[in-house]
Amino acid sequence: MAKVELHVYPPLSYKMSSKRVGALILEEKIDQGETLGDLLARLVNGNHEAWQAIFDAQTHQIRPAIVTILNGAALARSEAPQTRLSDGDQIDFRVAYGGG
Amino acid sequence: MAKLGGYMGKILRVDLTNERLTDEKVDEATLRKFLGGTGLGTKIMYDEVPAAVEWSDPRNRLIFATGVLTGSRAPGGATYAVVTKGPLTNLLGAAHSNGFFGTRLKFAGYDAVIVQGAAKSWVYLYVHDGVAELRSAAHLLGKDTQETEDILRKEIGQPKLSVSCIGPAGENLVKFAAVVCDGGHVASTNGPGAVMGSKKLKAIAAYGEASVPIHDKARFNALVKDWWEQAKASAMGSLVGTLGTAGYFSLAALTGWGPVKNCTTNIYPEHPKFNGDSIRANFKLKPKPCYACRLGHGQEIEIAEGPHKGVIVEEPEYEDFTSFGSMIGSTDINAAMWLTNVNDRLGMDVKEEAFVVGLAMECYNKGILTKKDTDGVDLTWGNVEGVETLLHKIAHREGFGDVLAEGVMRAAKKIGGDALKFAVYTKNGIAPHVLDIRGLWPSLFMLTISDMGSLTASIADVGDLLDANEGMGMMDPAQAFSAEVIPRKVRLLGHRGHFVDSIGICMHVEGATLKTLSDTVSAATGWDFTWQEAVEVGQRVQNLMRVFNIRHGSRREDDRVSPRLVEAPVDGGAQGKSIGPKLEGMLNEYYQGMGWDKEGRPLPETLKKLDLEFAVKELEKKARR
Repeated sequence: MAKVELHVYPPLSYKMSSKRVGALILEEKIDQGETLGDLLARLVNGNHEAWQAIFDAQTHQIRPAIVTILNGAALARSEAPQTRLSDGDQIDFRVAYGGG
Repeated sequence: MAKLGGYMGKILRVDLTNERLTDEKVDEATLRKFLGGTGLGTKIMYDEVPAAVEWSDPRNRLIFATGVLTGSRAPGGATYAVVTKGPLTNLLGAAHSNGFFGTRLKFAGYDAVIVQGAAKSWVYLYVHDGVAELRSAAHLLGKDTQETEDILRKEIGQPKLSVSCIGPAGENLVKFAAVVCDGGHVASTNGPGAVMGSKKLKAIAAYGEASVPIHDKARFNALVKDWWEQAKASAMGSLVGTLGTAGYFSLAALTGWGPVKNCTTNIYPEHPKFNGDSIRANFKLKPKPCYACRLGHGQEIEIAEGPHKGVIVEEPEYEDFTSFGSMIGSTDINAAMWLTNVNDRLGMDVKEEAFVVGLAMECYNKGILTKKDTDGVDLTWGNVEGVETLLHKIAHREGFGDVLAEGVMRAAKKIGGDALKFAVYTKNGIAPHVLDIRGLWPSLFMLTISDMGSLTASIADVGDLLDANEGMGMMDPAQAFSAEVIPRKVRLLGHRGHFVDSIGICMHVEGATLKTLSDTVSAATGWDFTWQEAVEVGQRVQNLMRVFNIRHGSRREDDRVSPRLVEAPVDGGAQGKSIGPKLEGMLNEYYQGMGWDKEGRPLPETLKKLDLEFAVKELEKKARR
């Protein structure tokens, strides 16, 4: 079974864990050919509040205030849900804010 | 007649040359069109500062303007603007600060203070309970901003006194001197502290017991509650409230807009140490909120290691950490906290400081400068002691510091050689925010067209861009480098940003819908103030700023950035991406969307639509010349 690592960074991770510094790292099994959107939809269906803050299961979109980084490269929001996952992928979720 | 809600009903004019203080009124129609803060300040600048007036001319105005919501319980209702013609661009500058000063000024009975003329000897202004007086500031000369605040609080005997002042940098007319209040809240863009210094005004101290009238308190309170809920859930609220602005340090470092060593690289592996989660967990902090803030952004922090261990300072902002960390090639976070404190106390803008010191260090490390040029100061990357020495030399204009005190573009010209190629600035000589904006094109473009010297807004998913719940989404790589998307979004965000800057609220809590913000203005004032009217105010202010700057010599050629900013980054998240070939096309699209001609001048119909008919003739006359 293939696996990916999800790195959820503060403050998004604070809804999932009491860990205060650095990413909350979660390992998730994926099916062959599964997309990031499918995986996130599964996690949201687990009714986790934190995942709902990251992914809108109704529109099947990453929420606008989130940056998704796959193996070190930021993904375009429109393309992220359709991105097929591979064994060993690392996906980071961070709040999108900045600019002075 | 009942007082208009949201306003104290008078402004103070301070003529320093003639030592005359007068109370004036602003008519309601003007207030509704410009609201306060940046908007009202821009209108006064337009009305009172003709073309021939340079930044240091006594006829220049220095305006401290609160907004309609400053001093109310609206979220972040603590902001005031300092508007003037600034020394870096010799064009308009509008800077904003929070803390308590704006609130205390209103509680003292004034919506704004217009300073004109220049005093014969140093003075400070004391505003209290509806009256104002000028007092000698001879005993304050040479004092830093914190010392000045402490002395005045003791002298006046009022612990709640709020002081907005300059430090040694302002006294010595450093071109990027800031105005500092309440222990580290800074209004700094385009050197307002130098203008204050040119007028020999050391400080304004304010205190009063009045309260801001609110037209419909029940509605106002309900809107404030809703606004807070939206703001805390927004990207900016959730991140900045929990982790401070350093909460995005790692994001910037990883996605290509974290500035490292004067933007010669974007690689900074130490970023997790500087990120807000690490800081908030590993240092001793104590909340120090601004007036009317429940966000948790403002904190005091104790330096944990090194020669200044145990000293308590204001928690640095993201741009302070980059200025005194990655930009100078240092990984010492405790030193960054100390240097931020030194810079604030000397009274300097951290943006210009970062890029002028970064320039000096790059020149030194590339052999363009030697110890002979720097008065013996070692500027090897990472030498925090060298940087501290340099800060003092700049603030006092001593030796090499006098060169750097001119700001990054002028300093580069004086240094010569390749220095101009290394210099990072926008417009005609003002440093950008302390980001590598080559990796964040919305910020780069916003600074290119800015008529106030700084960003009009953060690049965030604000509550809604205008009416259609349209988020910014500008961290999305599909948009972050999109020449097609950015001109439009920057234009719309500018309308919103100039409105926000005119109502007197902090940018970190503006993450609510524009309707919520404008309804709150309605509840405060009694007007039926719609979100469409809010957009119009933003457009009006933006256009009047542009007309003011055109009057003062600004042309399309000034909507530009320095050569380094059109180079593609050599590494990091924005490697290989250059806005250079696209910039002219983006400007054309932006001008068209704004209703401006190809030279970036507002068209008559644009001005008329915004009730700015009075500006049409001036532009026509200018065009005929």
